[in-house]
Amino acid sequence: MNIRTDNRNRLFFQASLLGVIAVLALSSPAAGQWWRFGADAGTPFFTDLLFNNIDAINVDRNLRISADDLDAGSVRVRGRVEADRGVIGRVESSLDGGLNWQEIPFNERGLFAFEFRPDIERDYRFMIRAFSTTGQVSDELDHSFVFRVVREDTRALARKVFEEIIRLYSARDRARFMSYVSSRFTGNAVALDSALSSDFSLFDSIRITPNIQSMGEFNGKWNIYFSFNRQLRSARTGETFRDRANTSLTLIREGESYRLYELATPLIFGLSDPSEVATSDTLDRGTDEIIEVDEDGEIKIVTPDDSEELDDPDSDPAPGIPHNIREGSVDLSVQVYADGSGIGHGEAFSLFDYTKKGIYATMTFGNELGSFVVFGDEVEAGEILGSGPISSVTSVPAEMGFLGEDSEPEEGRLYALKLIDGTYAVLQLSDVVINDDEGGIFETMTFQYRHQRNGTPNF
Amino acid sequence: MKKIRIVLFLLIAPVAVSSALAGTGIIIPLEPPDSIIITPSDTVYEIDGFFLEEDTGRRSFEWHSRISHEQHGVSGAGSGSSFLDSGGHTVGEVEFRSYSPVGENWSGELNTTFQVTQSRRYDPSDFSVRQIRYILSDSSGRNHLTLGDYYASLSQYSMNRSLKGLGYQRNFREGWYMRIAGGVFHPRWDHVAGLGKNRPVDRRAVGLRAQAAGERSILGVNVLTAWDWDRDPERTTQTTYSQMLYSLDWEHRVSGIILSGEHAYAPTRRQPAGGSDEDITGSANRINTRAHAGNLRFQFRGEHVTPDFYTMAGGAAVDRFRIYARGDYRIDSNWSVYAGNDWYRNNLKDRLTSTTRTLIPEIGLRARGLFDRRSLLFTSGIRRRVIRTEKPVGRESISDRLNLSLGDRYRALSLRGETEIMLNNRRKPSPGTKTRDYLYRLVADSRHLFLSGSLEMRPYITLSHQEIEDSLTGKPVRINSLDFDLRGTAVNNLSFGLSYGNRRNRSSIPGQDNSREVRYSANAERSMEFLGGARIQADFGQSRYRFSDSERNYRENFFQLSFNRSF
Repeated sequence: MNIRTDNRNRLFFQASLLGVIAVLALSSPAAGQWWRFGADAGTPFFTDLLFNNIDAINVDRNLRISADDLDAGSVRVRGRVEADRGVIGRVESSLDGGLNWQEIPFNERGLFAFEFRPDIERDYRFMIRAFSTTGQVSDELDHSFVFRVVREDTRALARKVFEEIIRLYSARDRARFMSYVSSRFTGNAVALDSALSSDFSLFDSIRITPNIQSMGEFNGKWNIYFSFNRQLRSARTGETFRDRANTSLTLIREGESYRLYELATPLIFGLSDPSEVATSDTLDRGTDEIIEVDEDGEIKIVTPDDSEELDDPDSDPAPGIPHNIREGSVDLSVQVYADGSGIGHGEAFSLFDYTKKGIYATMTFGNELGSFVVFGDEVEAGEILGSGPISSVTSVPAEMGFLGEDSEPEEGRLYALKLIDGTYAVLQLSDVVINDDEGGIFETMTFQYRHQRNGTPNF
Repeated sequence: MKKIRIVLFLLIAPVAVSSALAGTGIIIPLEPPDSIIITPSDTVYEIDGFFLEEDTGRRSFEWHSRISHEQHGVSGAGSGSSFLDSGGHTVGEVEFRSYSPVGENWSGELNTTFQVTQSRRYDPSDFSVRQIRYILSDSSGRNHLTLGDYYASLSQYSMNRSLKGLGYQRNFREGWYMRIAGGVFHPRWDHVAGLGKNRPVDRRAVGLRAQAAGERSILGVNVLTAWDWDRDPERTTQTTYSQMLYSLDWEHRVSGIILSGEHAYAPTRRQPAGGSDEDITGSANRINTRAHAGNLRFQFRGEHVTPDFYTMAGGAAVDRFRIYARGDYRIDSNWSVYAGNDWYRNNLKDRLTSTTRTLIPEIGLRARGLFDRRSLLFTSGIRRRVIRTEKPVGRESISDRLNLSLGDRYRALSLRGETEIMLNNRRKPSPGTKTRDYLYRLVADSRHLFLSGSLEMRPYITLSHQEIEDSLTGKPVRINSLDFDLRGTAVNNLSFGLSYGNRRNRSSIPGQDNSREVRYSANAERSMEFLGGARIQADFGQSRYRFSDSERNYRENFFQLSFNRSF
């Protein structure tokens, strides 16, 4: 498929959707009277609806319960109906889509109850309505759904939902995935929704194989602890990322199904916003490396220890923990292709999150064009110090000038940097290695760095 | 006592029989209850002040086994990128379950599950105990004791984890109970026994919850003590914690409004490896409101969690102040609108270099049942996400998302189309970038019956087109995909499925590969009566990955055979 065909596809989709919206807008009934705000406040409405212990007040189309949920073979329906003005005059329910209505007694507080014995695997078209003494009736469609008792036990139901939400995430179907997120989700459901959009823009291929290790149930919640094999492919670079880890999630019973109640780290969904989505940690996450996405949408694989650092890269160390200075080394390479096609993108490094990046990304320093050390937009100022052991540098100037690049770098050269977050760093080009083979010329620069994170220029 | 039960049984039996004779699916009105509060499952029936117990004196033993073998094959120059591990992977699982009465008024249930595998894809150990649980409960439903694997749920902030230990609940009256849970938070039994590699820190906890309930209110008090056991030399590099946590959760209902909340306070001792101990104290508070007035539904959520709030057994997003509000208004039986706003920030104690604030306003319009078509559903929404981090870090990004979706069902055919457009604008740090992402998706599924209903076929087809702009080069990546699934169910407990997927990724970014992924698979499952109802399942398939650079190409083959049997 070429670009022209792609554009045609896009135009077709856009035109189709606009057409549908136009039809809907033109067909909007006159009943859409938004200015009648609050005019129906006297209409009765149901505030509670329970099928045995299952909350059915927000059930949309289907309510499926397991045979485990039955109480001596029966379903006991309990609920409460209220009206802002007027008094409730009558409550009725139907199991055949409104063909037959049964009056239900209720007390002065609007509480009512009834029961029925359902057949297994048979559909019942449940409806309930209430009339006020002023003649107003609740909307029958509010609590109208197909009810069925299925053979599976609740464990099987929860397991099915677990598999389904992993399938929907792998299919990158945000809308249907979010329909499985509980209104009581302990993390930020709005942030999860946004994170899914970002995830599905970042990854064009998502494959997850879960292996449930254990399941525990209490009060309508299933906690599932599982290991997973995961493969994600970056839509932008085509690079493939793989990891294996243990994690857990919790599902809660809501009407027709189980829904996502809690996510733990390492995250399996919503990688783009982990601090808002996950509310607990999995202690036994394993020692394997984990895929994470940083604030700039960069995908990386980090070890669990790094992960704790990266959750909050600009956090100060906790009192009593002597890690104001972070030290390390990094190899940054660049390739000149032998077929004459040019020079590959060099590599860069960020002292904000201690990860490698592309040379054009937000970075601190990088290796470009084989003989340039370049400094990126994370550097506010800098200076070439000379040479000597990096550990011999005990302080750097607090005020320095602009430092964009070093076009004639030498092994052993030291650089002082002031970063835009107000912290200081010392850098040393410790080694330069050039390999010439059939694929072209590879140049690798090795840098040592010391990053003083407490905001002082003293090391 | 036994005689009384027999007499009561004779009294109630005609009622039960008449209910049964009345047939299934018939509504039987009951006396309105005094409360709507969810109670533990009743096994006691009260008649004129007397209790008749359900017969729980059965004794049973059953076991279930599952054996599965997967065979993976990977070939091609780029096989190192494959998701699969070449070779055979076998796993076997057996679960035992027994019920037995304990004395006159108690019953016990024992569940144990064991797993054997030679594949590290499934488990780090060849043999593992997956579950040991014994539940003891009395026939009145007032006492409930669990030993072994137990999902301890007190409240969100205090305790909400699976543990290995014990849990006990004593029910007093409707909505009133006391719950105790204690144990160690190891997901694996071999770690409890001090075996296995890569064991995490031993985290132990004991928690207590007492709940009282009125007609419209619930009040819960939770106390938790938890500590990490750090004597193992393998784990000296980890930071460990010990704490007391106190929390109070509540719910109150007034006309059309449900208010709820939780307030927690946690003095904690943090013990960094190689560092000196440090005492931190944090608090967490959340308040939720759901209101219903006429056609308006409103929800509000406020949460404040200090940076030093650490919960060892519960869950919370720390260092966060969040306010969320949303209103849904139903214009008529078809149309409704909603508007919401989410705002949150971190750095509540000014310990970070800079503060990040996030604002997510959104509005949307929904329609259901237009043109008298009850299954027609239209949704639309616009959401903006603004993230600002103060200087000196200095970041600012704004992304707008527009989504539209339309779905309907025509007899057996269900259709859904949706589009999502994202406009991303990173303003800081400079130079800023602007990108646009588009997603279009069309999903269709249907259900067909053949051979007088003895064969049911459900085909599903999904077409999608996505465009993603690269922020560095401004060049787009275009992804087209087609997925087709066919699921069938026939008489004689046979089900089967066919699946095909084709995805093309075309990148305009210089130096990036184009790629194509084609996968197809088939599966079948059948219950075999002559094998005692055992289920046999077979799956096989192939995936091919092609790239512009043929050195990256590879192919995956897989085959899986599973056998399930209950005894």
